[in-house]
Amino acid sequence: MSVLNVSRLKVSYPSRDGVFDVVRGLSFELDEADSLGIAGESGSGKSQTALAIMGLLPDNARVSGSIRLDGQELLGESEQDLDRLRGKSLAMVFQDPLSALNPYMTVGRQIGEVLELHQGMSAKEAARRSCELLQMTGIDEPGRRSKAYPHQFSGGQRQRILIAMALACGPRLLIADEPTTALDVTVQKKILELLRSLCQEIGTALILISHDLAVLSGMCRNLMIMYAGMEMERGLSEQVLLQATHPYTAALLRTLEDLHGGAGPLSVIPGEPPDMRNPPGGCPFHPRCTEVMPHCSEVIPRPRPVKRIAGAQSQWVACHLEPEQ
Amino acid sequence: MSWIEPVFTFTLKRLLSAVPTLLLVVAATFFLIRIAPGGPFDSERNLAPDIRANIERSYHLDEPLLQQFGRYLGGVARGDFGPSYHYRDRDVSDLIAESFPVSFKLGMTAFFLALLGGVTAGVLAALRRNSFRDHALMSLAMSGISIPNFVLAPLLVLLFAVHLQWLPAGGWRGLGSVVLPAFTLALPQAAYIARLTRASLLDILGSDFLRTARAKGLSRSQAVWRHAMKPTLLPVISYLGPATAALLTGSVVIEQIFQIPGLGRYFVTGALNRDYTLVMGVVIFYGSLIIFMNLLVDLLYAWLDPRTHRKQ
Amino acid sequence: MNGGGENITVGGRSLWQSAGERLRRNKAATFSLWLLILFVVLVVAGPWLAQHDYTQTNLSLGSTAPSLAGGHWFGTDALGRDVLARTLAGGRISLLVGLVATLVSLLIGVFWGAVAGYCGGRVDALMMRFVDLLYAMPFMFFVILLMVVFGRNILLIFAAIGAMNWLDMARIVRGQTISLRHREFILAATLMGAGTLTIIARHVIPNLLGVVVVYVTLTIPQVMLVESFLSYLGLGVQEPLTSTGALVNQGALEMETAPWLLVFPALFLAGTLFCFNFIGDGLRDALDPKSDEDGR
Repeated sequence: MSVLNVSRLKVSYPSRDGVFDVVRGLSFELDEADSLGIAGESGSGKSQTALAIMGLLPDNARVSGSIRLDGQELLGESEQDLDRLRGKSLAMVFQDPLSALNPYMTVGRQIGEVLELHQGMSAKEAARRSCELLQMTGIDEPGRRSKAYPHQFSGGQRQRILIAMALACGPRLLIADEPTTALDVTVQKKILELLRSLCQEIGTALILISHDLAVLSGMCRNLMIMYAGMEMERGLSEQVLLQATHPYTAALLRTLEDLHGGAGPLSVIPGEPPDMRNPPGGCPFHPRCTEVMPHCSEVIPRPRPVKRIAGAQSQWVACHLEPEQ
Repeated sequence: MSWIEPVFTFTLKRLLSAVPTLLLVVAATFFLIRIAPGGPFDSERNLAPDIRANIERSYHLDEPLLQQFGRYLGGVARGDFGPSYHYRDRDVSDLIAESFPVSFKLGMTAFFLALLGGVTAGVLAALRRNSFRDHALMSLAMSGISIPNFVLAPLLVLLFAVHLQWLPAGGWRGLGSVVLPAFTLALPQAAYIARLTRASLLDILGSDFLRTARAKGLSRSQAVWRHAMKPTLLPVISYLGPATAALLTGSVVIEQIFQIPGLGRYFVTGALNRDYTLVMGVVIFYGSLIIFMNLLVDLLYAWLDPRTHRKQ
Repeated sequence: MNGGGENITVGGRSLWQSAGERLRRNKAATFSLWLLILFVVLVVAGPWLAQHDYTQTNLSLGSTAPSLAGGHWFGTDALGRDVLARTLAGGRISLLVGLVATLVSLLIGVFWGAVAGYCGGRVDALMMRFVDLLYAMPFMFFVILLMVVFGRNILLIFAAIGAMNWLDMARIVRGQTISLRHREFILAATLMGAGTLTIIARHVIPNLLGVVVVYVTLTIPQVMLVESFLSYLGLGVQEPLTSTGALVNQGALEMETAPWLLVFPALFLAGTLFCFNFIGDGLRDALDPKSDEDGR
């Protein structure tokens, strides 16, 4: 039974120069306690996808397709019903922990608020439970620290607090949007470890968003590569990494290898990321693709299952290129 | 309690730093008057020289300037601003004690009117940005800023007192007589506060922590009430010091227009009569009031903003 | 912030060009700008346009209502003086005070703020300490006191109101200067051996233009308000000169019998203030890159 089922998700914004799409027909699903990493450059639509699932896109965004949580359709659901789900079944951890926390409220209150809202706890119960949650996420002296304000914590501690807040009600799905980008490298790993172990403990499905392929593959069982609002390749992390089928995935992996001490000139993907107000026709990656073919600029390739090794699970690839067996 | 000590230290520090400011106010007013051409009794013609000298001696005007300043300073410290030059046999302190309660009532009414009206209008406008409601409220605020209250006051009197006869045109009797002056006095400040509140709330509405609040499952209005109001009000609170100064200044004109027997009116007549001690008294009194208000505002701000507290 | 000048280009267009475009899209600001230009032309050309001198009395024509036929379009006051000519003359003084006093506050404020911000350290601390001290002063009352004591001299009005308004300017300019000081082109100028004052004059001040323009547009109406307030109390300019505040005061006394005495000067004063405030708001929004896109 899949916890999350996203199908043909489209997000677009009207502007003076016409409507432009930031997410263009995305489909994927996620099982209970499973994990999915979404990778892509900035502007590839990963954060927009996350906010669409949360139902927190700006008012002028237009969303179509289908997003189902445990079979319940979220698109078109009333705000009141979504409010009941957010924080309880659906939770999110944001990129910058300092600005994501209310600077004028003690962290204990900020965590307790979720519990009072969704689990009907009294202020006293909520305060006690907040301390437990802080303890669980590795904050020392939770009783004293829960009365402190966000600015009195370090960056890593703040992210722990946000994780405690997100997991307070034991959600079905947690979305973490670049949760460690704003943190020191030394802290990043600990936070990611905490995130993974807590999600497994509670049985929460995790969507982790990052531009860092290495982080994602280490953390998540599944991997999805996005480009220009579309899915390029998706499958089990190890398969995608070992048998990258889409030229974009392959190019990303090459840049990654170089960063980790490869010899020779640093490899970069030539060309510019697409302008989403005026994306290229056909496959969005074709202007930068080394394997480009004539019909790539005309026909948008649909994701199709590809099996490169007999017996292995298929991975989904959106490319006109026939994969080698 | 752990917070008492820092609050006490802070208050003490601010009170101490108010002392030089107050001294400056007193000195500036005192010497400004003294380097001015002419004396206080020039207007009284046909004054025999010896009588004049007698009067001047009774007011200690024959002493060296610094000695006079010391005497005046000592008086001010005791709340004694000396005798009025115009209202013979009256002390400036008495005049202030007698008329300030009236100004205080008017000022406080206007203060709360401006605060409540301004904040409400600003919040309502920001919550529906670019809607008709937003545009209407902000046009109103723009009018409040652009139409001087001495222009608005006679127009309102013309409408509500002369034509409709709902409210008295002036004087200080009954609740009805407070309405028009308090409203005209409050309007420009309400307008400033409304614009400030709107800008501040719009800023907060776009902030990450408000999105976090929504992600926790708070409804839009819950998120605004619980998480946005306090940070929205902080800039408004720091404006309350200048707002008080503006209300006091405005009351000078408003009390004149509506013939209200308050301190502002004494100030104007004092100024026109060259009643120097009275004018000085009012300036120093209102100056201290503004300094005191700024102190209160700073304390309130420090109390509300946890980031000004010491790190744990 | 919007410090840019010609150094910053956004998508090939300079900051000022795109700001100008945004300002043109703002209808209230554009309309205000044209109306203000009209006001200024009228006020400057007033003495040649009006058929009557604003001081010329005509007791036989006391308090006549506005009429096109009578030659007094805005009517006359109790002494038979033409209200149109008086409104224009009063407007001229009000605008003049607004401009000159703002200029005074601008000069002091920009100088003070730029020097404090650029020098930093102890000089900065000392200069800003002084500003803090002055902030606590009940300035409006001092100005009134000044007027009472020294008589109503127009030069004194310029100086007094100007000296009252420079504190905000100094603070804003200081903040901007500090953020500018660490930018590359200032460093480059320092490395090339330019002196402190040269750098302030050549690089810092031109780059402050954006904030300064907005500030000036919003200070002029405030200053005009203070001047009209003083004139209303009878403490502003002296007869035979007049200003809109004084005219409103006289008009309010006779509003029941001769409402035109109040209405025309009041409209002119409020209209000018509206224009400046709308233009100032428009400029501020236009120069703020954040205001570019709605929603996202």
